[in-house]
Amino acid sequence: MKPWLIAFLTFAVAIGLVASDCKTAPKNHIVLWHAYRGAEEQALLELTARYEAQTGTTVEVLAVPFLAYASKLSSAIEREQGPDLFIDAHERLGSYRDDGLLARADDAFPKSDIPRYDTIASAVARDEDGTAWGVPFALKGVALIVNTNLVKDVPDSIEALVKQRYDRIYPLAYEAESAYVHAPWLHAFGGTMLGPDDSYGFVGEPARRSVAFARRLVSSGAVPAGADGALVKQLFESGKAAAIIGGPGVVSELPLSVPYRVVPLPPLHEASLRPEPFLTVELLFLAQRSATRPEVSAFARFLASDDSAKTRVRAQVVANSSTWRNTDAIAPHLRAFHEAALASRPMSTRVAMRATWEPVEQAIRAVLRAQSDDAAAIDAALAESARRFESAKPRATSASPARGLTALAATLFVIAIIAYRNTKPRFWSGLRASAGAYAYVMHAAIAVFLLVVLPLAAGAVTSFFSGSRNHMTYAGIGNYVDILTARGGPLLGYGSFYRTLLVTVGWTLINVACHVTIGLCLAVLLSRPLLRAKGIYRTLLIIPWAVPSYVTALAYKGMFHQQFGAVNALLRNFGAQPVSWFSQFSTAFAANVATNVWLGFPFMMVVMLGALTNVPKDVLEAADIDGATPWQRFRHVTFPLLLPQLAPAVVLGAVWTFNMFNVVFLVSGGEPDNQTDILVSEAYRWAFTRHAQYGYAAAYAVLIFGILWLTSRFSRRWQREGA
Amino acid sequence: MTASSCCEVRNLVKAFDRTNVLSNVNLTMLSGTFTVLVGASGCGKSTLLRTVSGLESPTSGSIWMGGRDVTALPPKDRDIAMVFQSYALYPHLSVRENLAFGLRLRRTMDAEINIRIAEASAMLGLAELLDRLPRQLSGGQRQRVAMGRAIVRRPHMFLFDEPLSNLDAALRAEVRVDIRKLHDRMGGTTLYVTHDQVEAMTLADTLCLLRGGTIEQIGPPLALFDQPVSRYVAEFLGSPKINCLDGLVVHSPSGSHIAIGKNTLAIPNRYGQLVEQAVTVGLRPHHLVPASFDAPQFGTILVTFYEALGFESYVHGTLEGADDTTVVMRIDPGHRIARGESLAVGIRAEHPLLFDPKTGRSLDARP
Amino acid sequence: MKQHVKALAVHTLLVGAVLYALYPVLWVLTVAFSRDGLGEGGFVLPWPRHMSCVNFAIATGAGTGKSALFIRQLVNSLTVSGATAILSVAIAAPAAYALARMQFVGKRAGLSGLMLTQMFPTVASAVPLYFILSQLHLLDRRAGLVVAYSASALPFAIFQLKAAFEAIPVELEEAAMVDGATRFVAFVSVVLPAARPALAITALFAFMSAWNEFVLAATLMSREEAFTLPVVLQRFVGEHSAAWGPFAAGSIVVSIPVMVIFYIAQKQLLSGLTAGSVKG
Ligand SMILES: Nc1ncnc2c1ncn2[C@@H]1O[C@H](COP(=O)(O)OP(=O)(O)O)[C@@H](O)[C@H]1O
Ligand SMILES: [Mg+2]
Repeated sequence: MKPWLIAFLTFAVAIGLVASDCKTAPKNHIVLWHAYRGAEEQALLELTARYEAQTGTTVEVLAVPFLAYASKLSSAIEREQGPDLFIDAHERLGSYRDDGLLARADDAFPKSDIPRYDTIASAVARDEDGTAWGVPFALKGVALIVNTNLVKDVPDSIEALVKQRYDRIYPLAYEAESAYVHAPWLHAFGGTMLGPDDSYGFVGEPARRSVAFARRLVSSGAVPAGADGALVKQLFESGKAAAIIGGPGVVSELPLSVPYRVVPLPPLHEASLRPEPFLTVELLFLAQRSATRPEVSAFARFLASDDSAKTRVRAQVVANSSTWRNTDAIAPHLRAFHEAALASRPMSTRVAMRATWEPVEQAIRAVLRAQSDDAAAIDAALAESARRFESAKPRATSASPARGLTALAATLFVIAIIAYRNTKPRFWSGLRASAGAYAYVMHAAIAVFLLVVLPLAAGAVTSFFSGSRNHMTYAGIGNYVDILTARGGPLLGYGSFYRTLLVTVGWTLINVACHVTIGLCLAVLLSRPLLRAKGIYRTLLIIPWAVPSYVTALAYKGMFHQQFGAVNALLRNFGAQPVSWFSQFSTAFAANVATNVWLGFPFMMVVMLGALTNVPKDVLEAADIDGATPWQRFRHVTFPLLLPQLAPAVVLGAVWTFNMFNVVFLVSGGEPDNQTDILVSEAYRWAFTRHAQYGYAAAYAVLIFGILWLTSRFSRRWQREGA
Repeated sequence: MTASSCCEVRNLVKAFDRTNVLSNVNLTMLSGTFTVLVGASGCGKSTLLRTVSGLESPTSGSIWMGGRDVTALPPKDRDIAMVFQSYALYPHLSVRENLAFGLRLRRTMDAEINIRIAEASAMLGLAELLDRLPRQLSGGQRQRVAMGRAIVRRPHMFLFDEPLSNLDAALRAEVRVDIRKLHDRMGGTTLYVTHDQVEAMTLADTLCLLRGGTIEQIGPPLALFDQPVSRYVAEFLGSPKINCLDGLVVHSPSGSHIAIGKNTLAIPNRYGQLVEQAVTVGLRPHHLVPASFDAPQFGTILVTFYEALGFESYVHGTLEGADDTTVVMRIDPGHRIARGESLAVGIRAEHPLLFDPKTGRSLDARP
Repeated sequence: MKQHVKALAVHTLLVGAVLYALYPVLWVLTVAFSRDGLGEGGFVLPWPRHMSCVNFAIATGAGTGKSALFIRQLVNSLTVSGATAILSVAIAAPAAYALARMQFVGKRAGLSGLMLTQMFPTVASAVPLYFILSQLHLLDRRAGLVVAYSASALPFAIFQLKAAFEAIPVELEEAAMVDGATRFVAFVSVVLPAARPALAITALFAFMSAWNEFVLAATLMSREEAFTLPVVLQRFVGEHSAAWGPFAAGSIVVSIPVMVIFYIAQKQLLSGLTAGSVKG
């Protein structure tokens, strides 16, 4: 058979396979989205099945990964492709409503139903006018989980709890550097994360006392430093922590060997208020298009009903108050979480709330990691965090679109003139002569233009707007001015564009150098003709590429943990001092680089293995005969022959590394103090944590693009001059 | 155009980036003839061949084959076969598949393909190699496969671009003969590019010498050798190279002669019109012999180097009294001559070749 | 003797590299095979305290009656990634060939434009892409994913193939054209086979990029039967806690097909095919 025929047939089969699925949308059909898993998901599916059986409605339940949930929801609902009903945290109510994604839920949650739910839950589902925007569903919050082998009676205060001394066991473990888990201390001292009118709440006496309190917990050795959720859970599971602060998710995954009890957080001796943790109320939201569909409201009512709650309460803390009174067979820990939830403080629904996490955590970290605990250091950290919050706020920049349009027209005019003047007389005949070649490039050009260039261009256009999502206002070049002037801060200050750029350049150079060196060395070793077990080596060496990077990046983060990481364990074995990897720039940066080098070298190795096969053997033999040493042979023969084939991989590798945000996100998370952030991760922060300022993030993207473009232009010129 | 002309190149101009690589080339190849394009490296031989093949399209001018203007036709429609200098064997196909490739593209019946492959592999001794991949062949074998690929096609015209230049000397001489035999047997028209004058001389029916993109001279090989139109042609053909000596035509009552330094060389009277003119005298190495009765002494050379090839020997030396111009002469192998000796030389040539020192054109008055 | 010492040195280096490559994965494996997490950590050599495959059962839905769904999603991943590999190579190869061998108006602009697309971070482009795909009626279809993945894999594929085609002697195509092929037939029947290793490597890259992608897949697909494996895996990560055991187990499962494919295909990927085509 002809090779092209084979290619064509495979192609056709592939197209047929992927095109075969076509979605049909039957009537009387409800689509429900959620991000539950495990038992919660089971309960939801069970209820849905029951409802389908009862009413004949068909319900399509989709579990969406949490990480993609919010963006998928808004994209889909805007395009009328999304769910009719979805479950999400009440904090997002504000932004969903403002973006016009929601239908009123007055049918599903009439005023008469208010008493059926816990007050705290009913309250967050309604706005000031009393309009319901969601149906209370479940409560999510943290409580104290104690190991009953170690803690017989729960002490009456946190201080008493941490005063207990055990042999190599922490009296208390919690995510000390997480603002979410720190919140109870703040609340106990009378503070709030977000003040009135979206002002920054982590200031003043309450904030100062809360961080001082946390610092005492950690510096006394009662609480492990720098623990993340996974580690806290690990410590509890292995009996190395007598008590932890955690949610129902932790409990449901505990092994049977650990006897535990859940209680609300005990008060702080030295504080006057109760340490209220943050509470998230999960609501059933009705998507915009469900406004005219009573069957969706009916289904929502069913799911939230007391009857259904009896099923759901097996897996979650339902928001139906009667369930807790009338049902006996409830797991004690859920009851305890419910109790704790009632003593919690619902998170603010303001969009600005999300923007407080980053500065608050930065302040907490600064204090917990400081060498001394003098008050001035705490004040400085708090002041810095407040400054960060302020500087991340959206600016009320707006410009006259008329000027922008004029500028656009002028630019187009100039481009047209330049294009016209550069049009050589042979242009048209050249165009005709190129027709044959266009037949080859057409498909690629269309695909890339439609699916790569257009979205990017549309993204670039948003850089001239400010505000979030559906409330964009034209801002001219305001975003660019803000970025390039570091928002009035010091030009080389932390988080400023220029400083981040320097870090990014260093990051790129080091990574690419390591990728190329390691990849090349391994490829050369692996292409030795007489090497045994080549196939095994090659396959094992691509493992870092084959295993999804999300999980391995997090494995790296764990390996660099100060207390429990394998790297420090190794150092200790050699008698060296353990290093606190993420508290200084140099080591945090090194950890990021180590991870990214590990992730990226197999790619280079494979590219180079491929390229090496194209180096003719006789040339190498000729070099041998000329008396070249292996190194000389490599340096003067192999390498120059490889170069043209490596060029695309190396150049693109550099560009990709420049924009490789997820390693930075997952490993150092920008620590310390965003110093290890690179330009894209900074852009992502603007888009997703700091008031969802897409325009600002887009401006970052355009600037990154500009920098790379200029670099490539100049490097090409230098190359040409060098040659 | 005559009926027997197989291929004709008319007023061909080919430019790359506005510099002319070929300018105004006209060439007619008669059916069944073996035409060799020869010239220094870079003179445009390959370009001319590739234009004939259709791989390059001319900037102006036209190519005619079998009475048709084929200038606009792609190579596949020209009924030609070509053997590349680098052989260009398809690396992913076995020898058999390499041979069959062109036939399959032309939808030749399988039976016919097998017959032709058998025939060609018998002719070239490829039968053992049919199932190997190109990378499993030696250089000579690859070369033969490349020729086989041309032969099985039975085209009207064969094009060769320096097919022997990657072979060792012995093999080259052998395959050279094979190629000529094949040509005679196949009866096609052949256009053959080489920079090797031995190949050119031995293979050609018609020899076409290119210089800087134009045809310097075209004709039977011996015509080019004996009656070169220019010093360039004379120097290009013949090994060792022709000796070129600067001289002055002098007329005296005893007849015309040329003064080369202190030496003189008698020339036929018909060069009379060249009196007092500076000329370049071309003397081939075999025109110089030790002075004897037949060949009266013309000068003395001081031997600087002696090459014995076995069947003949060459003496390199400087001609005394002529600004020590270097000359090469051929002598019988029996002579033993040492460096530093002086040797009286005479000339055994009916008439030396005379060139204009400025233009290099031949001054030969014969038609 | 000297040969042996050399071979030993090479093997030592390679074993070192393999250890470096494997070590973090050992942690993942340990988490995947542990019934109850890692313990308190702080040790160098990872090993599960209580060996168990329960995480694999959870990840693959075995026991909960969802294994059929898991198989379906595995098939999705395979078809989507496979189709992406084929489609992107099928589109990239002619374009790369034209860029390598032909002169045409806009060639340089096209090449730099292609490079430029790689320089632009995708921060703000997800929403427009969603919009475009919905206009093309490609939402919630595997075809939509394939098209989107292929398009984003194209620039690299084109650059890679262009370099590979340039390394193939022009004479091969010329010989084919003299032998009676059109340019296109010469491309398909001579250039493509001669560039097979490069095609395979390019396809592998496209396959890998599709195989591990989840943001786009999670955003575009709205039915569980249409999800690809990374999306399924990502479900083990919640806002405040993650089920690391199943997540790690799932990641291992996801990486196995890739390694199998690589192991089988490596001879194809890494054999110098153009050897012997030209010169003696
Ligand atoms: N594709 C091309 N582009 C530009 N110049 C070329 C090209 N091919 C050949 N040339 C130039 O044309 C001249 C003749 O080349 P060629 O025909 O290959 O010479 P040769 O007689 O050695 O075969 C050379 O100077 C060469 O540099
Ligand atoms: Mg040539």
